[in-house]
Amino acid sequence: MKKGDIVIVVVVLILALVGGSIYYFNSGGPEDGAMIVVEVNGVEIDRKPLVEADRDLIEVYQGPAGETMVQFFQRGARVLESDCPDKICINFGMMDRPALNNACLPNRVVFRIVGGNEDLDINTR
Amino acid sequence: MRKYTLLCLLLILTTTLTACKFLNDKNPVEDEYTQIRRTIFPMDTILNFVIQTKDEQKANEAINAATKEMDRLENMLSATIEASEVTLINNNAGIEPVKVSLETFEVIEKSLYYSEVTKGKFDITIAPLLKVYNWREGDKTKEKPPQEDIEEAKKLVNYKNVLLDKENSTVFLKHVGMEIDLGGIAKGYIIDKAVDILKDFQLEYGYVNGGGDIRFLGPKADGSPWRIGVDNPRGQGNIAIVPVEGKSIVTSGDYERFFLTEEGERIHHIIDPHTGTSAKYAQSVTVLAQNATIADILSTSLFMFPAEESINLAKLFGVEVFIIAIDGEIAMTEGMENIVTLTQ
Repeated sequence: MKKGDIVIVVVVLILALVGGSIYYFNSGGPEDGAMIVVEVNGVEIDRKPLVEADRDLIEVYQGPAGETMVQFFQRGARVLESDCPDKICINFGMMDRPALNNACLPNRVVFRIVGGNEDLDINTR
Repeated sequence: MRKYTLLCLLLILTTTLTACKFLNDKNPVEDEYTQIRRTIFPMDTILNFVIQTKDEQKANEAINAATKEMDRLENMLSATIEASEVTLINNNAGIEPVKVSLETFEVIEKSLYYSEVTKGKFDITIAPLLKVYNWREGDKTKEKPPQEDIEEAKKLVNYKNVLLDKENSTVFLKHVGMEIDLGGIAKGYIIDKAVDILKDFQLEYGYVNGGGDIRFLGPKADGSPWRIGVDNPRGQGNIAIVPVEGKSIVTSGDYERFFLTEEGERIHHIIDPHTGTSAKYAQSVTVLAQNATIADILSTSLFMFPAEESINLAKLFGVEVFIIAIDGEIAMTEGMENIVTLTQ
């Protein structure tokens, strides 16, 4: 093999290794595009990229029992106020894990994170 | 020579990229599956169906059928539905036996069996005591109920006063004022029946999660187990990860529905029928069992025993248990030790 051939072999092997690594570590991984999804009565009505949410972002969702006010953060969301009798949704605190849901049950408002980099399917609590 | 070298190198490059793509997809079979999710609100809770399937229409039909069956069972087993069989039994306490469906009879019979083997810690006649705590009205009450009210209610709590007549399929509560509440078993039972229907439709990959009572159909479509995070009861995030396939996992905790009294006593919703107060031995108990009925019953019952006794009972029932004791110490069965990953 000539010297030029050896150079080509080395260059192509490096390209293959680097290209393959970039492809493996960056394409379609669960860390891409974590979103927070809001459902009312089982129907998805809102979806926000977590990276765009911050503490000033507050949305009010209308459900069968009244209004549920949700505050969005970069790492999750929480219920600030809700027209429900028990306030369990508020007591739940920050919902910041992909495998978890929080819900205002009487008002049928459910929110959860999809995507994210946590390698879990579901939480038990 | 150079031509052949280049050709070989191009082949290496293509092979490498293809291999990387394969690795990244973990299992190419998974690509053919779609994950569908549906949320409904039965049994005063939020329930998710999550199904991985190649046939969305079939999965939707299966979920529709399962939902219909869940409605039917809830209408028989709920103590809060006026026309349910359970309400009828309660309304006839001390008066006369009530004829019930096979399903209601089966759930009550199973409940009484678990009452016996858990030494009365699992007791469906606990309803009058739960009423004293007023959980159904929410968590507004921040004072412990008066002791005399607790003592009065305790007099009505005793599973031995539920009389079953299998031949006539009747249930009779011996004393006026007695009430049953199937809250500690019905959710698990109904979820199991829903899963049976999903399986009848030949669905193999997915789960039903009813307010934390989770039953899996099998593994994930790529063949790997589902990965379940166990919440840290006093901190952030998960304290452990449990891989599960085809079984049920249920956690009972003292942190979901509770209040602190002025003296700092934590009053939570798992009430020990013997003491009439919140169970004191654990922060959380996670049970991994063959089905949701058993996991539901035992996650509550084992909460009321010291860790060592819980583990012995779990072995007796053939289930795995993961306990975070009231002092934060972790205890578990050997089978659980073999699969769990502690994360904190």
